[in-house]
Amino acid sequence: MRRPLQTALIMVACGAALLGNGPLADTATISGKVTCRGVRDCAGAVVYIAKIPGRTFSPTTRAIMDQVRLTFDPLVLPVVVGTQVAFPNNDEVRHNVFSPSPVKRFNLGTYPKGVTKHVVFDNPGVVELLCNVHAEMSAYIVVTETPYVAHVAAGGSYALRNAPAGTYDVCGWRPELKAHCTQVAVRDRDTVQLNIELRR
Amino acid sequence: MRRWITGICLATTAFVLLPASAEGIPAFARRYETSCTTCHVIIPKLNPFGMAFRNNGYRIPPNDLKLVKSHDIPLGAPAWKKVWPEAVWPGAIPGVPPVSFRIFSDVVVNPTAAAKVNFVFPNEFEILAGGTAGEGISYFAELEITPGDNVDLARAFVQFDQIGGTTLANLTVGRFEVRAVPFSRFWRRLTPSDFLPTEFRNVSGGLDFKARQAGFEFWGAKTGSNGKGGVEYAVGVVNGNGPFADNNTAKDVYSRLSYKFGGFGVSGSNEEAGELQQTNNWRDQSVKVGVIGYKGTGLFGGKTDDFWRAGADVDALIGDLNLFGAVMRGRDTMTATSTSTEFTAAFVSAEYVIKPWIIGTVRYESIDRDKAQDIKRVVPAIVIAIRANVRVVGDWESFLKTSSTAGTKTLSGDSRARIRLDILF
Repeated sequence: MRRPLQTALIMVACGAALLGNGPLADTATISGKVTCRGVRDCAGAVVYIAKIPGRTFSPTTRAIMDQVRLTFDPLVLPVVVGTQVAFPNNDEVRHNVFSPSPVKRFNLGTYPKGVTKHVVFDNPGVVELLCNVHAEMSAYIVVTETPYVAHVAAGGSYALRNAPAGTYDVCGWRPELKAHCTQVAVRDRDTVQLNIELRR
Repeated sequence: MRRWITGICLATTAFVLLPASAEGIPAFARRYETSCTTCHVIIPKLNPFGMAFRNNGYRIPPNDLKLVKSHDIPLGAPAWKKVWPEAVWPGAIPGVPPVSFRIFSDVVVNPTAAAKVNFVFPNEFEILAGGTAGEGISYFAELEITPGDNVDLARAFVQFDQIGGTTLANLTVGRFEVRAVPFSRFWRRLTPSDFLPTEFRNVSGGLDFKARQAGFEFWGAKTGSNGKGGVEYAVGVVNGNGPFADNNTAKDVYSRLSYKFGGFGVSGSNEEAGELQQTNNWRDQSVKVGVIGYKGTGLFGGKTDDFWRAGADVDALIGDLNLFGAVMRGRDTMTATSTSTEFTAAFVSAEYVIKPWIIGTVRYESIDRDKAQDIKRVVPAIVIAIRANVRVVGDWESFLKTSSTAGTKTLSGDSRARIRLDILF
């Protein structure tokens, strides 16, 4: 249930961002299949428009990286640059959240259930999250420069709907695999097919 | 006469009690929830896919994670790699214990022995373990228990796999069967009787390739650019004293180089398989040729033995037929007396898959020691997999020509038959 909610939040955020910054002419669809080499499946993979020249977007309005049942939830959280992410501890045990990532290096310290801490992500890139208390916990925040993000389905399919016209890079990324970007040219109401292969 | 018969009986008993271990272990079958026939023709003989699995550090190439069913327990999330060297590099342990068991029992028929029929029940009980410890590390261990409270840690090694991300660079550390052996007695031999050149000793107490050695082995395998066959190599340095601690400072060194023309890639296919193929995996169209060299120094009975071995082998897979053989030349020089003993050992074997569960095989073997001692042996056998993990094998060691060989207690010249029941679980 969490993923549809998250998708809806992203769509709301996208809508808000588009209303605030540009014309409502985003009618194209970019879709295809992502193939993930060297891993079990494409779980956690996302496809996103890296940057649209001349356009900026508002931060994601509501972004939460929860801590429950000794896991971060969700595994991958895409946000727009400038977004403040909340890190509530809703678990029965104390957790620590830190990131060794050069994109955003931070350490929130160890805190108990009921406490929420916040971090603003102001640079694009992938931020790995770890817990110093539980070595098996990890998650990722994908900080993008646009709100156009799609989660890849279990079978590898994805669809970036309401994409804008223009020429820009579409990127795929999955935990443990390298990001792969492809430049596409999109016109209004186009349906563009783009398959992406991700490798280690 | 009685002493002679007693000697024959003791030699026969010693021989049938010798370890005859396998490398095919159900721990792998459990991990991938697949049949033994995925990697074996009939246990323990590996098929080309099984050899590629072995060459990938007990991983299925090119994407093990996609096919493994029993998930590992992570020892730290992958992102901890980013924290290294300030934190421990993450690893993994198997979700289910990577342990297997094997029991085999023999009926030995020796017309010249006092007991012409001997039930060796069981001949051996083995505990086998093998698997991966996350990325880049694998392991294998084998504990052999034989009647009479004999326990031997036959093999135990750790492998650092795909160093630098290539199947061409791997390091094995521990006690293992050296890759200078032309054909493995663990994962290639179907018969209870060993390959004669493998068990042969040129001088009493000298090297035989049956002994597992303690040391380091750097090795690699790479499928050819056309996706078929490919190159394999190994170089190693070992104590050279088998299961015992070394008794001299000099180490044995060896190397092997082989190339497979055609057939399944030696390090696997580049294409990710959606599922594992469990049938007809023995078929291949390929020829592999290899050369080996081994040089060492032994110390036994207060005497120093400088020796070398050089050899070549051929392995041809033609559909259901496997023709393979090896020739080896060697010399041992006792430094105190400067006396040298040379030999040539060779064998050729044909194995034919009659049905997926039955293999007929015949092997002809020869030892020519200083052109003075001459041994010829033929070993026909039939191997029946009554289940994927249970087999019955009968062989007949028939000495066509024999002469006593000081260093080789097993070559008494007794023709004999064995029927073995072998189960792994």
